[in-house]
Amino acid sequence: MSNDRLRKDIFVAVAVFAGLAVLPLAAPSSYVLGQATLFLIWAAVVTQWNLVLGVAGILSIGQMALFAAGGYAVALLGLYFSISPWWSLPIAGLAGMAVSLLMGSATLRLRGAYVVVVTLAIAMVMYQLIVTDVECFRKLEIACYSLTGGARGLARFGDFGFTKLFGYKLVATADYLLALACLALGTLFAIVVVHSPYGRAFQAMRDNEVCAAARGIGVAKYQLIVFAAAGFFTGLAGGVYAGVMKTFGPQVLELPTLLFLLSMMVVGGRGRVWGPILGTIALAVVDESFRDLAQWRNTSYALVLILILLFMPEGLAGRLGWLLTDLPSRFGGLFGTRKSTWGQP
Amino acid sequence: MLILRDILLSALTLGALYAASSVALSLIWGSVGMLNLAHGAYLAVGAYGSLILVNWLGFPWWAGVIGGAAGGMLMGLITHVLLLRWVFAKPNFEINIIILTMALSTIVIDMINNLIGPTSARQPFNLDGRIDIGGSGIAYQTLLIVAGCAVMIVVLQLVMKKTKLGRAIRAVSQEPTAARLNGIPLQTVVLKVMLLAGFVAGTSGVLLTAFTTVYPTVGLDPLLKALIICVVGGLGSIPGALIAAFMLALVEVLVQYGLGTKWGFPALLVAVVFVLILRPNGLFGQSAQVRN
Repeated sequence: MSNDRLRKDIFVAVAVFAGLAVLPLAAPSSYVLGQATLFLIWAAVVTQWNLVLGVAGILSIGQMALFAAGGYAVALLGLYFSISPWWSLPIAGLAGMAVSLLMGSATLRLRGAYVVVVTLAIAMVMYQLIVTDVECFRKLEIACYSLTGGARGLARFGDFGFTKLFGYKLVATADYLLALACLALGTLFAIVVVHSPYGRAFQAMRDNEVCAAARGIGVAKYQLIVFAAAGFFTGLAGGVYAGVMKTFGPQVLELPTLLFLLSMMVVGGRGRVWGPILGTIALAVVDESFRDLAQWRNTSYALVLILILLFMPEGLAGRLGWLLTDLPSRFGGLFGTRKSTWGQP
Repeated sequence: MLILRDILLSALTLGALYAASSVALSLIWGSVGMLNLAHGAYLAVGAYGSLILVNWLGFPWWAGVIGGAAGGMLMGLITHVLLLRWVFAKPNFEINIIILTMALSTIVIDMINNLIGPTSARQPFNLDGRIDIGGSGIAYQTLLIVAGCAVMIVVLQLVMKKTKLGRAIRAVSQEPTAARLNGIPLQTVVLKVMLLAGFVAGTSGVLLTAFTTVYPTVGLDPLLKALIICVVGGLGSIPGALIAAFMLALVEVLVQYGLGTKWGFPALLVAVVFVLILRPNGLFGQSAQVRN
């Protein structure tokens, strides 16, 4: 049964990612491709966050700190040691993992709202330390730059070298494919984990911690495992973001970014394997339709988030799964059915 | 000795600020079991309420605090009518309300930014001058904050302990279902809590911004500090929050004196994590209330 669902989910994943991979053949404008790249990276972050918050039920909202750790790892190594992002990507993953483990161990004994406060505070401390970093670290001509670039962030630390490899015209496509690969890797990992005994343990912890502990699940151990795994892939996504955008700043740690990603997760469906990707598509649509109202951008995310949470708390993936099981379709179950262990408790 | 005195005075001032920022948050958590991430927006709306009443409508400066209280109560009303009443005592209430209030906070900040403008303004409700104690001193504003805080806390404690409403609030906080079975109108009590907390938060917003200026995200920093303070004191315990406010203020001032201003907040976080490792429910918190 479980293997069957695992195989189905992987099959769908391969089909979806293959479909996304041939998208650049339709020759979209570089603006569209750039936006798509960005959203793929966000989807990768939300997928991992979903493992922690949706599947394991740990209310961690400091996820952007892991992303920032990865991004800064790539940026700093590129800037001071001229290491190409290709080589620093694994280090970005490890940096994300380190911060994540730190966060996981700081919150081991805490529950509920206490976890929210501590994880948020860790992310905010990181933000403040970077923004207030104004000490002169290196001098370029007359201008003075701090170690982390401060509020301005870092730039010119090298990129993936796609311009040299494929020529100027194909850079956007290459960036897009790299982001897609990053998302595919994270999603496949998430699918495998969720259907494995580890995933069962995470869900048991979420649904009833005392019961889970009584059945011999070491809650602390599994919490650290889920934090480590999510940290690695989030850090990786951060590294890819830094390499693709060629700039990295503390803005990713600000609250609007957090809310934006949270909207993706909730709109897509918490704790469901396809939630993050569906949510990303939905938010991309919202983002595009509010393009002319840039000053109300955050409000638009927040409104969508509130409406979905109040009227469709199971999210798009939950609603789709419900539709699909109601229809006597052979595709039923692909998106996580009501009966599946994916659902909310 | 002089340095010690200055450190203690700064800690007192900071502690008063922290206490003022955390009372409303603690009240809401203690009685409704909700972590109000829109608390920063409550403070900001309170501050702008004072600004609008005094600067735009031409009321005298002391009327500012009335505007602040009204602004805060408006926020409480909005939170209850639009968000809280639909998710209260339902599955996943704890996380849902956190996400919802975070969204509300974003919308409010966006509205202030777009409708009033992002520029900062001076808070009209403030007292200039200070009591001089041989070189250093206490600003009148600090005394005002301490006094305001003390009044708010005494009144709150009286309401919670002596009145019928207080009894109903405590009943709801202990067990919503049982409270309802005993004839307590759940939603009405929750609405009253939100109005009360809004009143307190709005007033605090006015008091706090006299030290800074008023700008759209003015509530963000107090929100973070208030969250940390309430967690250390034990979520929901107002006396706990008070003690934590002054303790953490002292830690922060000492670290800032020893290591430099920028390490104040990180040191605070480290202190918090250690307190929580030893006491996962904070200094005065009861073991986590589980609500479904």
